Amino acid sequence: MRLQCVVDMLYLNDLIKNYGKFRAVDRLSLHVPKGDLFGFVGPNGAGKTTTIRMLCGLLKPDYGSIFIAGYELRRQSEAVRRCIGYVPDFFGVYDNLKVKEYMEFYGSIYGIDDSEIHRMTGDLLELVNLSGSEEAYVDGLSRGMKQRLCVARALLHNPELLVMDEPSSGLDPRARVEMKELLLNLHSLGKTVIISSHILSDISEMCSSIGIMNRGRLVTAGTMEDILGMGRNEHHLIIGIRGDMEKAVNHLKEMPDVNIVSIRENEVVVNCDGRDEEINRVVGQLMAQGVLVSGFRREESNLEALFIQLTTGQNMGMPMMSGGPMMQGMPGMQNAPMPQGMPVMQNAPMPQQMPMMQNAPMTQGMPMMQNAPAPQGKSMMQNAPAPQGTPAMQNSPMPREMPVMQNAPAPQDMPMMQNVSAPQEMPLTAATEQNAAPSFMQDTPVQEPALTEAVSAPVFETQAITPNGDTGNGGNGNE
Amino acid sequence: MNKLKGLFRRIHVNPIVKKDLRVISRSMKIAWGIFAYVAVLSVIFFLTVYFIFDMSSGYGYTNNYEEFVALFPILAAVQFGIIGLIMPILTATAVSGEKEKQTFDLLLTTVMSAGAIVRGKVTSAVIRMMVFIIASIPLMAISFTIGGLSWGYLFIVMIAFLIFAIYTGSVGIFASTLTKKSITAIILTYVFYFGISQISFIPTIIVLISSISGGGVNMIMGVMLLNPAIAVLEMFVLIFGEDLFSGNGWGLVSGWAWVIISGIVTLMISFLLQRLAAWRIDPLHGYIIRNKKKKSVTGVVK
Repeated sequence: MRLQCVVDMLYLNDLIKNYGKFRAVDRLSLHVPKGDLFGFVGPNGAGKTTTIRMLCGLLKPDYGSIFIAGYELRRQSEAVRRCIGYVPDFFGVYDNLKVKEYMEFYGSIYGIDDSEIHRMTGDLLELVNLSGSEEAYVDGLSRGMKQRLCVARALLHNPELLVMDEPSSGLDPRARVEMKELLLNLHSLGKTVIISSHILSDISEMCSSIGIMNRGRLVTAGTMEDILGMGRNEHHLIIGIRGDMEKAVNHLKEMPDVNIVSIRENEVVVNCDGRDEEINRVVGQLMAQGVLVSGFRREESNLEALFIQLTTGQNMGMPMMSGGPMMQGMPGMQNAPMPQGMPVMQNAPMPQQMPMMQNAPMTQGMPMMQNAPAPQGKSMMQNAPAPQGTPAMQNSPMPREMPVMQNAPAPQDMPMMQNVSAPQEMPLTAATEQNAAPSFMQDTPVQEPALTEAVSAPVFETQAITPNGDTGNGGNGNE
Repeated sequence: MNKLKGLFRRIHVNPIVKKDLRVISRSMKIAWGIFAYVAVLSVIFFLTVYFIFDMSSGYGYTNNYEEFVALFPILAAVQFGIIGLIMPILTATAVSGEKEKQTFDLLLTTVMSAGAIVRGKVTSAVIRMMVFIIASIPLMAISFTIGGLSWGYLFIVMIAFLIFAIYTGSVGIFASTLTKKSITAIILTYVFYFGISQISFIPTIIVLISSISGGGVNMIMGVMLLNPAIAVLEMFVLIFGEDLFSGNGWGLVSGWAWVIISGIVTLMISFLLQRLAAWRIDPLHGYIIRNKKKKSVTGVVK
């Protein structure tokens, strides 16, 4: 430990913070090496902001130690402050102050010479793509510009560590892309950057290492490869079946150590021991039984799935992923990506009119409905207003949160989902979210992919994730 | 000239003071503020002149110019009142206002200490107040034409204004750290003044009622040193050549000694309040271990 706290840029040991009886941060220990771009993720209320505020010296830890660049906050707080540039998620600016004066103000706090401040201001504003706005008033800047100005301000004293709390919150897609580029740029300049974010796709694209927090505890932390590799402990095998799906399902159910995760039109997703021998055995047995297997492959792991797995699993106190969620990236019905949060109606008797969503990428915001009573699910679908301009959804991508499925032709030979051995544990979403599902689906009008924070925020709360590493609010800026 | 510039550049001005003065000088508020301040004083000036004319002359326009000596103390007393009213507005919003605007966290994460933040806020408010006071000097200087005032007294009164502004500003900033809302902080400040001025009289009233005598009386009466209003009153009485505390047989400090001691006590209270305010806003108070000697990192790890 002695060495570790000197070597690491950030070293947190046994950090505890209580708000009254509520423990916001619970024995958090974390190491971030120098030069890392570290992503701090976790659901709302996980303790990310509390942790960040503690390491910036804005909150007093109740227990534990904080080392930054080898300095201990408790004993060398000024040295620590010199090493940190902090960019909060929400902040204000002073009225009647020009950009260059704003920089001058913070520069003079750090005792930097006026001429030096002016020189650095020019460089930094160029870095954050704000050059030419020295004479503009800070309160007149847009939110994205203010955010970038705040980054420039945080870099003014050349800190070794840049800490950013939700850097892309409230930014439009373009500003998010710019912010992402800026962060990558800083990382390439050798700065250690710690960001907390809800936007997992951003984190997975940018960060070299991440830490996932939930309920004040660090669930896991490590390099991106290690973390994503962890997800592969859950070995989802996707087997394409041609012909009699029911037969295939029955055979699979008979196999020991194989759980069926979900069944689609001509594919079945099973959870099994991930060894090659095991996969061979499963597929071989199926083929031996006369099932026509059209193909099989492992499902790739990704951050969203892992995140849900780690955070939800802990929340619910249930075995993670057992027979659990449909992972994204699964090729759903006829090449349509099957998103998370799609209603999986295991154990629910299928209504006749059950729409089957051919080729229609489903939307997020649809809760899982395992064990959900059928009439509810049925009426939900039937009462859903038919979206304008989407008479039939074959081959047409569905808008987000659209009350789907009416008018979608239901194939007669649909081998759907009946009597699938569904796990008894509650899968994935919390009970409350399940209860909220009907109204959510019924009332949600057809929406364009929204760009605002208002949409992006609840995405995490409902823990519904869309495919392709996209949080699905359309605001992640993956143009 | 360049050398002079370099010298000024090297003088360390608290960044908050620098920024505040820049922002203030840019807005029209300060111009209107000075206008209103001098306008109010002018009205008081004319009212005073009117009453002095009226009361002193029972017949026609003959005036007793001796009465005009009262002009300066009246104007000065009014200014003390205005300082007492304005300073809380300037400083009570200093911390709570930054909190409301969400600029305070950024300030706290910098290397600026909580004490320096508080000092900067009080200093910038005091400087703004002094701008008003200096703007009123020409009006006050009319008293020179009449007499009853020397340069020395004017200087003393200016110092008294400064001390009073520091005191009221410190009370304001302390109140500002107690609440989240600026308006509550302003009200708290007024309550605090009122409290101090009333409480400091209580021992004296007890002494007067119970007619205690002896050495203890001095100590009890000494509580009034905490009250800057009494010092200001004593100062004006002294300017007129009298003394509040002379000839009462209590053996208290009296005359200018009272004014000076009370001034020092007032400054000490201001300092204490600023320290308390700094303690209140420092998020790590009680957490930081302050060592004079810097230990090596490996030495502090458990």
